Amino acid sequence: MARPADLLRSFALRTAVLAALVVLLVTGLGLGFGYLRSERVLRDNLDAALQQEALGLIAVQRGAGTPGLIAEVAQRAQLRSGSAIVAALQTLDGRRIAGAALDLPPVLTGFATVTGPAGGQLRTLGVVVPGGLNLVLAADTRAVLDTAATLLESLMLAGGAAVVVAPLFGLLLARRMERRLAAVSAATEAVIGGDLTRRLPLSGAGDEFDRLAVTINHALARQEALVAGLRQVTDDVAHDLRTPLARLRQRLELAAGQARAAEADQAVLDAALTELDALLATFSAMLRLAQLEARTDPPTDPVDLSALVAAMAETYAAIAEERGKTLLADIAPGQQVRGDAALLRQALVNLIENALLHGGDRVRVQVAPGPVLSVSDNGPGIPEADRIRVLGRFVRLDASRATPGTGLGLALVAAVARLHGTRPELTDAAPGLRVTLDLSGVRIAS
Amino acid sequence: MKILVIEDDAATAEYVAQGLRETGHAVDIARTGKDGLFMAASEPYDVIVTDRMLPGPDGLTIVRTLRASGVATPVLMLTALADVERRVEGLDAGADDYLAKPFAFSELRARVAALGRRPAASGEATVLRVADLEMDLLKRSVRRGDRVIELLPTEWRLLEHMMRNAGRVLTKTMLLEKVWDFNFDPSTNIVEVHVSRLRRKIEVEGEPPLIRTIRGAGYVLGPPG
Repeated sequence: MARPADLLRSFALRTAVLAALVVLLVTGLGLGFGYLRSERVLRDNLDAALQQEALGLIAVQRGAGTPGLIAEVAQRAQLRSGSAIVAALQTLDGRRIAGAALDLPPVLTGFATVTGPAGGQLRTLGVVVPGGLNLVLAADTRAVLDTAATLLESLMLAGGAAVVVAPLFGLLLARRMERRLAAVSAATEAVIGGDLTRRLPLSGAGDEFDRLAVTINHALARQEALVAGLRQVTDDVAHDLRTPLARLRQRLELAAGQARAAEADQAVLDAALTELDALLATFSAMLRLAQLEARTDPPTDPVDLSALVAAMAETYAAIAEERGKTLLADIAPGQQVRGDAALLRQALVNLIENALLHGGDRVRVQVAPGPVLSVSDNGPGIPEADRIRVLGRFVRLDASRATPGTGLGLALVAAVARLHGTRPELTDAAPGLRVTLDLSGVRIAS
Repeated sequence: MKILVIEDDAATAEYVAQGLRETGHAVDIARTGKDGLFMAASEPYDVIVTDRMLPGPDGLTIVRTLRASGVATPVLMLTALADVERRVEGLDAGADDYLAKPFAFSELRARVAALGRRPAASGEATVLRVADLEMDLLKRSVRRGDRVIELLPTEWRLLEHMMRNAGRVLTKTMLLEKVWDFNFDPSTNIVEVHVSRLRRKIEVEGEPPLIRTIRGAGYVLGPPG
């Protein structure tokens, strides 16, 4: 697990601290605002109560006259001495007539806050009533302040709890994140260390981390496949190039051990050159295939597929004829695609040459609207079980071992197809083999 | 012809130079891009053969620099990098032809010869003539003497290319590139088959042959004799 120093430097912790600070700020603002609002509400309530009392006493005067009011105020001062709200009557020059002794300034009208006889704050409501009297209702604000203070206290307590909890929560968050990142790091280190089968762990929550892990796992799987491909190529090269090289070496060694004879030497040299040329052809094909397979940007030149296929069909119709075979072309006109003419041409040539070499005596080249390109023959075909396998490198079915070829033709067709967003499909032409390239994905609508 | 070979590998440089000398050319060798550029800019050569990868300025830079300074000497670029993109890159830089290593010497010789005589070819002619063989590019017709010859599109392109390069050796690879647009070697003998079919059309019984096969090199179209 991460050491404290690492944790302090961690992005997760910084995020957590930031989160805690934000929590504190929001809590603080909320509490402060809440306190101010509450105090205000309490004061408003007090004012409303004062007003209620004042209206009651004014009603008394209206019913029982001024003496009734004086009596009522005096009575209240006696009966309700413990009440929060007290009443007093004074003349307009400040002389007390009845009620509580509040030591008031002369003539109070409206709401006011004054210092009471005990030194506390008094909230007062003064009204001048008929008879030249000043009716004053007063309430000690201590009750309000006490309530507000209690409220503030509990708010502060809650705030204090937030101060403690928020960083703890942040720390917990940081540790959780740290733990998941550590798992990712460990898996990545393992891959760097050479374990290409290792994958990032998934928590199963399907969250952002899992989604990232899935993406990275895809990348790792692709890399594993590429490296496996590379190993396969190395093995293939070792096998398919060493054998003819060994043969060439034997041939030259044998010749070197014999007496020089112009005619025999010439034959040996010619044979050696032929063998070398075949090797170089295989080598070029491999390089080309490797380049194509590594390429990721799709080619986008406009290609007149119909014209391209027609030209190849004409070229190979002549070859077929020389060999006593027939090549038929059935080409829908005006089919255009986005791609690479040179690559499509080579893929087509490989397909036609395969058909002429391994197929029967009739080869059919077709461009159907779509466009869908297909080459079929009436030869023995390829058993269904082998149809995927023959697209690989250096795969030569036993039946074709005796015929010339690099074993890379269909692999190259597959690589070209991939660059054009498709894959070759091998089907039974009943009898024979049909290879189809559906190029509708790169079609240019005419 | 006077030929400059820019090649850093001593064995390859010697092989190329010796082969070209045997064919009657005068050959200078430069072993670095810097020397090559200096020599190419200061001496009049008929053809420059340069490797693509060189110490100092590489083949591409040399061609670009020469073209930028107005030197139009035909350049043949040799390279171990033969994929299509590199090829296009080389031709875009101003090289006139591109040849992948390893190559047969006959191939190099034919290409150097073709480059050396390039200015003589006229691209604007509307009627091509070799002996009594006549190709009218506007009327799209071919005749030998009074005999009208019908050609398939591929045969037409093949004959047109051979007539435009009459008298020059055209290798199988050169024809594949120019007539079929192939930058790879097909496993069937399409050049042989099409040349022989063309022969059957333009050299009917009794007519003197116009297409000669140069063993191990290629084909030449030219007047008989």
